[in-house]
Amino acid sequence: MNHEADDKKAQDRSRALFAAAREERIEAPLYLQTRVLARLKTQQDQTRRLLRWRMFSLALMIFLSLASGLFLKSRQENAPFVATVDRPMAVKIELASATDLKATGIEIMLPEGVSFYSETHTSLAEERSLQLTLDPSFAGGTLPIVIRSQSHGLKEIKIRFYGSEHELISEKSLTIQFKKGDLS
Amino acid sequence: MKVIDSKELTQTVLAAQKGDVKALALLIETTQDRLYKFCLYLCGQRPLAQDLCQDTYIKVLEHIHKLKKPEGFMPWLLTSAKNHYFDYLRSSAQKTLPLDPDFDLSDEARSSEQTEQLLELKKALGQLSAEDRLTLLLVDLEGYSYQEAAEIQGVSENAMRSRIFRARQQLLKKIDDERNETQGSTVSQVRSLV
Repeated sequence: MNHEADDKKAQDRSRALFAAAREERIEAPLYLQTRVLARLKTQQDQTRRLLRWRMFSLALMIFLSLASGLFLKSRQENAPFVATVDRPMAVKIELASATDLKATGIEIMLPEGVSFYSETHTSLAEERSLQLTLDPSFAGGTLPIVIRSQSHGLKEIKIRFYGSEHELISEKSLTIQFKKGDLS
Repeated sequence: MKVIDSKELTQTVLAAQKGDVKALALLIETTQDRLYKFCLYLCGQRPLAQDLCQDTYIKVLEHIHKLKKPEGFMPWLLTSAKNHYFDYLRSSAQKTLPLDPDFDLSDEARSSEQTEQLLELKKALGQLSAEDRLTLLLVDLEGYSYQEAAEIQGVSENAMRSRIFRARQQLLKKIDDERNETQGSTVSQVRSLV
C-alpha cells in the first residue's frame, strides 16, 4: 500500500516537474530538413549507382561465362583431327544428318595435296572429288573413306549433300591437321 | 513548424512509403521539433542532438518502406533515436554524458517563472543514467503509456514499471538534495550576514 502511495506521489511530482519541459518550445535547427533530404538523396543515388554496378557486373559475368563456354565448345568442335603425312587415314562420314536432310547424293571434295587411297582402286588417287548416290539403306550409318596427304598442314575436306534434283542442301567441312613423322 | 494530426501523419507516412519526396519533407517538417527536443533532453548537448536527429531521419526515412504500422511512425522514430544514442555511448565508451542544464533555453524561457524548475529538472536529469533518463523522457515528457515506452525501450512492461519507479525516485532525490543544499547555503549566508 505504502509502495503504491509512494509510486503515485513520485509519479505526480515527476509529471509536474516535466510539465515545464513539455511546455518548453525548442525548435529544430534551421536547414535540418534540407540537410536530411540532401543526404538522403545522395545516399539513394549511391545505392542506385551501386545497384546498377552490381547488375552490370552480374550481367558481365554471365556474358563472359557464356562467351567463354561457347568459345571453349567451338574450339573443341573445331579442333582438327591429327594425322601423319603419307600415311593412309580412315575417315568416317556420318550420314545421320544426310538422312534428316533427305539427301540423295553426296560429294566429297579434297583439298590440294590430299588424295583418296585404295589398294584395289588405285585410280581413285587421281580424283579430286568423289560423288556418290546415297542409298536409303545407308540411313543413319557411316560412309568410310580412306585419304592420304602428301604435304603437312591444315587441310579442309568439304562434304556436300544434294537433293533429288541435284540441288545443294547442305555443306560441311572436316579439318585435319597433317603432321610429318610419327605421331606417337 | 507545420502541425498535422495523427491521421494526416499516417497518410503522409503511407505516401512517403510510396516514394513521395514531398511526403518525406513533410514528415521531417512536422516531427523535427519533437525529435530534436527529445534528443536534446536525452543527450543534453546541442551538436550531438543535431547529429542524432540527422542520423535518425536518414536511417528511418531510408527504411520507411519497412514500417508495417504507419501509425507507429513516431515511436519508431524515437526508438531509432534511442538506438543511435546508445550506439554513440557504446562507441565513445561513456555511460552518461554531462548534460548542459542551460541547453537551448530561449530568452523567453529564461525570464519565465518555469525557468528555475526547468533548470532544476535538467540538472537532475544530467545526473541520471542514460537508461533512467530515457525512461523518464518517454513516459513523463512524451506521455507514452508504460506498454508503449516498454516497446520503445525493448523491455517488458513489468521491467518498465520497475525502471520508471526507480528513475523517478532517483530524479526526485537529486532535486531534493539540490534544494536542501541551496537552502542550507542560503541559511548560512543569512546567518553570516546577521
